[in-house]
Amino acid sequence: MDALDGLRLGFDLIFTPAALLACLTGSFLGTLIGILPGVGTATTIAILLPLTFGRDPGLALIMFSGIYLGAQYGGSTTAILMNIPGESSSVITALDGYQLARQGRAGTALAIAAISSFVAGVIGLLGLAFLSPLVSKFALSFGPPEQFLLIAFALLMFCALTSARLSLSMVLLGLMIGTIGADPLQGEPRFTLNLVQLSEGIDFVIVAMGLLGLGEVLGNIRSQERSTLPLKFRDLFPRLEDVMQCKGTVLRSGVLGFILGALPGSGTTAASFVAYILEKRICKNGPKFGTGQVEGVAAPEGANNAAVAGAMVPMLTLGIPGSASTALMLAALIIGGVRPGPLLFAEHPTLVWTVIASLFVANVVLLILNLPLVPLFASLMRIRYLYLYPVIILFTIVGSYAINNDIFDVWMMLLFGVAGYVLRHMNVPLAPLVLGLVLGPLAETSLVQSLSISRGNPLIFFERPTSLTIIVAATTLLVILRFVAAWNKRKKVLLGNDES
Amino acid sequence: MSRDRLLGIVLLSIAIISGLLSRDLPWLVQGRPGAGFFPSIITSLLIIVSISMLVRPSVESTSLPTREDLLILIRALGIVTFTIVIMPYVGFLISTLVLLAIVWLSANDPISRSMRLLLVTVVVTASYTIFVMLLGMQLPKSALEF
Repeated sequence: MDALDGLRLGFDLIFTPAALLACLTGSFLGTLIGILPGVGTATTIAILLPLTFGRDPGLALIMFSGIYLGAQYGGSTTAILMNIPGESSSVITALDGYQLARQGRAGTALAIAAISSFVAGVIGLLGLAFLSPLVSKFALSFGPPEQFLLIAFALLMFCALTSARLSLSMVLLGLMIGTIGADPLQGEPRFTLNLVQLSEGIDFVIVAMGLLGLGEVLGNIRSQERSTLPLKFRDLFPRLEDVMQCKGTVLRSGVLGFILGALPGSGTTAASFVAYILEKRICKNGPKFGTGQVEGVAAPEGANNAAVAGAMVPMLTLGIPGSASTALMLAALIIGGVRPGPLLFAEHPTLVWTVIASLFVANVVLLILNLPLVPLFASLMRIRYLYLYPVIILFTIVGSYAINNDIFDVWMMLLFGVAGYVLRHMNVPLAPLVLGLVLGPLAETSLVQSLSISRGNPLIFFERPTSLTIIVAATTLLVILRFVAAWNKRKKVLLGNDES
Repeated sequence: MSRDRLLGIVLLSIAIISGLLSRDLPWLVQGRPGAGFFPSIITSLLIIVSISMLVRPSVESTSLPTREDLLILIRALGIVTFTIVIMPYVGFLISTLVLLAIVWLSANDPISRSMRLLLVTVVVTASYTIFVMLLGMQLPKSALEF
């Protein structure tokens, strides 16, 4: 069966009451989970997993895919409105999204997030339908060494494109915080100070809510207590020129997000992060990223949605889950008696194509669900800060408590809130710290696995063709960046001399 | 004071403390990276970066918060801390009520107090309904089980 026949079959089957209900429920739940910090996608799927026992595995997978996709849509809402990323993949969205909201353009940011998620999501799904066999072969050549190099170079590139040393110091601090808890191979506790609560490390949600959310509130109370944002009625809706401005960014992020999502272990966070870095480099407004650019919202949001479709490739074609969420989806299939792998498309075409068709439907449902809500969410920014900030504080308390149902996490969040206030006062960028924390455990695991495979020989990073390609490409890019920066500096000096 | 110097001192202190805490962690276990391997690399890099910040700081300086800024910060932190302290004893519902009532009712605002009290009631009821009843979150409860 070719892809077109498969899609036709999938669309025939998805429009049954049961499949549509599963798709709608999943999309709605996912959006809600994405909006609420502290309630993760994987946790929700894990809670719902027992409900699938003895039921059709296809329906379970449709619902879980809807949750996974919906969480990417919803995660941007609080990141844009409150600077609190609901999902790790929305950390990057907060950089420009929140700045747009502060400028009274929350409606634009939310709409761009929804539209780019939809378009890039469809690109990813087309990739899933038509390119799965090809991409899965490439994904197989992507092991721990390649994964480590990708993360390391992405972090280095991010630092090189922002205020290098300051960002690097924050990334390192984030990586350091990420090492708290059991080590990934032997499970030996590190830096836990004999506190049981630290044995599993510090969840990124606690740090993000403290540093970005509470820290922001503490810093704004004095200046904003009496004010509202200068939000006009027309600012509640996006402008066509903003949408058109992002079209190249969305297309590129869709393709990149799909490819990165398909690489085992990379996930939606790495996809949104790398897409942002790429756009910062190549798009017209790239140098102004971080000050409230629509492309800065479109890139990560597009990439993380396309990555959801990408993550389905190794899961369905190889039986390799790329993240905790896809691992649980895989479990749902196995519980239902379906064995994912190279023969899945041939043995269970009905199931596979219905799931792919359901993702198309979920994308449409989520766009319909999210776009009309944009003016409603954006109008929250019209509420005076005095009435908004206690609710944000409440949100951060509930979100951090909900992770482990432990008040200790709320204290940790408060601690990071104070740190966020101080660092914000010093004009230190906070996003690199959160990114270091999110990507740190992934980087450590892949580094340790790589060196374990090679019995401690670091040459493993140079001996594999894919990893060597990454090294050469990334080094070339870093050298070019350095050269361009030096050239611009020299040009400025020469121009300054001419003027004087 | 130079921002980079201040940050450099803090980061160097963190790196030294983490270096001391991780000195007993094994670097290698049977030829494979141990629990101390990755933290040692990060600590070393952090030391290098923080020293470079101390030696060659950027021109950007940082100012201390004003007295008024600090008073507002202390007040806000006091309210949040009080909410967190009482939450395990009085439950989510009452602690939320206290948090919102303190902030909104103590503010000098053109909106009438009765209106603000109504707002407190609506937000507390809505948050309890969404978080506890709808999403089934296990938030702290009072002795009266709410």
